[in-house]
Amino acid sequence: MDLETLKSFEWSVMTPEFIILGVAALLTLLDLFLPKKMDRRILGWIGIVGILAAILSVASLLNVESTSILDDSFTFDAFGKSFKLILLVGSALVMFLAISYDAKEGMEDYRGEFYYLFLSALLGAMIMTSSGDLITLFIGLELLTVSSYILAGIRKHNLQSNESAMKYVINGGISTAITLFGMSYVYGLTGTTNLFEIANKLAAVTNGQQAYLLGLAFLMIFVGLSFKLAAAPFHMWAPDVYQGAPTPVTAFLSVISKSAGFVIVIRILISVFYNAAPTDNGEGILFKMHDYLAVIAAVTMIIGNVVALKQTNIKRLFAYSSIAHAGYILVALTTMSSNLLYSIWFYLLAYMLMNLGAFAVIQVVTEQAGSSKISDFAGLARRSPILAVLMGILLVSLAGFPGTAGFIGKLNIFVGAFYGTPHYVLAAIMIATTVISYFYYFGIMTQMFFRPASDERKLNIPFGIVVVLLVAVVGSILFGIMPNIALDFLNNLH
Amino acid sequence: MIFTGEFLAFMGLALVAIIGGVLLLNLNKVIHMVVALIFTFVAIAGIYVLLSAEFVAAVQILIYSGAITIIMLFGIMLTKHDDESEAKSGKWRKLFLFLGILGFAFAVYIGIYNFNVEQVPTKLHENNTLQIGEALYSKYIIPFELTSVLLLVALVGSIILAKNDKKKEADKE
Amino acid sequence: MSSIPASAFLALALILFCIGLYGALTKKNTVIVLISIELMLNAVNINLVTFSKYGVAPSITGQIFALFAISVAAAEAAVGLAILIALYRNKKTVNIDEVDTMKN
Repeated sequence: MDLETLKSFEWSVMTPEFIILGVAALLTLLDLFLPKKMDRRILGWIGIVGILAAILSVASLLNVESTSILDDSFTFDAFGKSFKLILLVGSALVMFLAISYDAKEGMEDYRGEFYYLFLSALLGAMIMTSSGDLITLFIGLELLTVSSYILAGIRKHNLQSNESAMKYVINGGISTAITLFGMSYVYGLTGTTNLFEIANKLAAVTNGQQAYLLGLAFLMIFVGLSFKLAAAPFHMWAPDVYQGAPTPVTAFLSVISKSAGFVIVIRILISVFYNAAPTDNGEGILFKMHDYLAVIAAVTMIIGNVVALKQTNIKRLFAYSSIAHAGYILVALTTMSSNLLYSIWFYLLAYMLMNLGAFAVIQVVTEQAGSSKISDFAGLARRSPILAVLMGILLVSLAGFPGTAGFIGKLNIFVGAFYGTPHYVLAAIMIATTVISYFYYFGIMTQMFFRPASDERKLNIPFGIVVVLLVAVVGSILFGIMPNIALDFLNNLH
Repeated sequence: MIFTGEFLAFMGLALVAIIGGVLLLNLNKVIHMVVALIFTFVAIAGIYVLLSAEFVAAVQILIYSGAITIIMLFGIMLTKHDDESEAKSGKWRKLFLFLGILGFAFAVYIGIYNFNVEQVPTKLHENNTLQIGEALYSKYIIPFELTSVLLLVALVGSIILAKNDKKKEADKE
Repeated sequence: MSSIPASAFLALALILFCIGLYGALTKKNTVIVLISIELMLNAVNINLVTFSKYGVAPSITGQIFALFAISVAAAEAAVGLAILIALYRNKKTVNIDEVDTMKN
């Protein structure tokens, strides 16, 4: 491959990535050379401008035909476009949270790093949405993961933040190794890292032993990646890490990192294993592994929702709630219905909006209270009625009530469970656990509206939080009433 | 099976690698564990040479036996270690884990014990470094550049997390 | 051709992977846990390099994948150790079972 071939590629489709990379590099340099005393929030605003520019450039590329660069090392397709938009919008909202976050406990000097590490993590996630090569996917995954390790531990004088980062690194390291071990067998059985070539070669595997090894590789990759999703069996890190990390980082992990995890799961598992090593009736590995997926989805939903019931810390509660939401999305993955992509995409969109909104409220309340107990929400309705009402709407959406985006998301997945072979048990578990989730979501509501406040101070709401809340609440209601906007958008992509 | 020189070399290296790993699990002093693992890392480099991956072997010696082991030793010395590191949990948990991992190993072993595809002569050993370089700078240029971002992030992150903010400490006292 | 079957290399990798996994799950000292994870990644690299010579379709890609895995492992080890040192400053311990202030 010579320079001419390299130049002949359509590099313009990578513009969003280049923008994020450029802004991250710019922030690194500015942080180094700006006077020490200067407020670093300006870097956060530059970051937001950069993310908005990247959103615009994705929007302008929406009509570009699917293109791929360097042997699918980078593929720009409808899948990548749609999920990249969720990641970018989510990251922009997280940056607003980060700007409003009160830096203390050892991160005063590192505000600049705080902002550009978000961007590098976002870059990793974006690469994961649009790569057709195992090596590139893996490097994107690790860029996201390593940046998140540092972000989780950035309040370095806070013991909980240290502990949270430590647990994250150890669990993350083990899961990375397991994923890679699985990937190495996939490479061995195909001799290539290109996902499409892998899929073609695997479809021709007939040797029983190789098919068996492939099944094991599938399980290893899935178990390793379930760490990113915070799904069982790798969910144990989530509550501790979410509790200890700074609130914007928790929001980032629960939304962006989780969405990126689903993206890579769909990329690898569906495109590679769907037709792999088919049996006589043409069913690939994915169908044989179907029962395992169903078990993982069920266990994730049950653990997430049941353990959430007895939490007293709001961030831990949201950690378990995010585990539960991952379980719902896994149901969609298990049922493999024809609306799989739409239902996962829509659920991630709705989840991004309502969860980030909720974290905005959590950040305001916990910063004022200095702790993150659920009882700090007591009397919120009196201290700040607007905040309480907005949080109420978001909680209703998280619980999945009609009229909200959360309801439509759950409905899509639920209906999908009856396409083809119906999955009665999974659907029943989904309904039952949703009912369980009402208890803890309404527990917060009770605190907000019916408990007397222990602290009568008015809450001051920073501008960044206002923006996030507005986008989140408007989005949750809009997509709840008119979900066809999203459906049309996705159908028009090509 | 023919006992060629290559086979003997493999057996020797594999034995050293596994003994190093077992010592990691069974030695008592933390420093000794890390030193035991150096043997494993060097033996693995030897294995790479047998597999005609000279460049990866050199990198293995530099990065693992060199850099990573050294920073791990630094990590041990910079922190107060109890000198001894026994299992963190009860016997039952250990036994359970041991059986679980044994089961996993057995399951994978069934998949690989006669993994023999027809061997084709490869040209990996001819200008090994050149071949790697050509692939790295053309087909794999995107992950290559991303790795540089990753290493930069790791560098910045390690510095900000491990740096001792002397000024802050002085303020507190 | 080589007198060593590919499965011998794969078995070696499997053994080292399991040793690393067991160490990572049972050891108390965090440094040892981190280095056990490195051992697991080394096992992955043996697999990749083996497949690059004896796989279904031998190619240089396996060695390249191994090089990427090595650089990622180095980055992870460095960050892990930095976090350990930050933790040690606050807690004065490196034992993973004492890192548990966040239980309810």
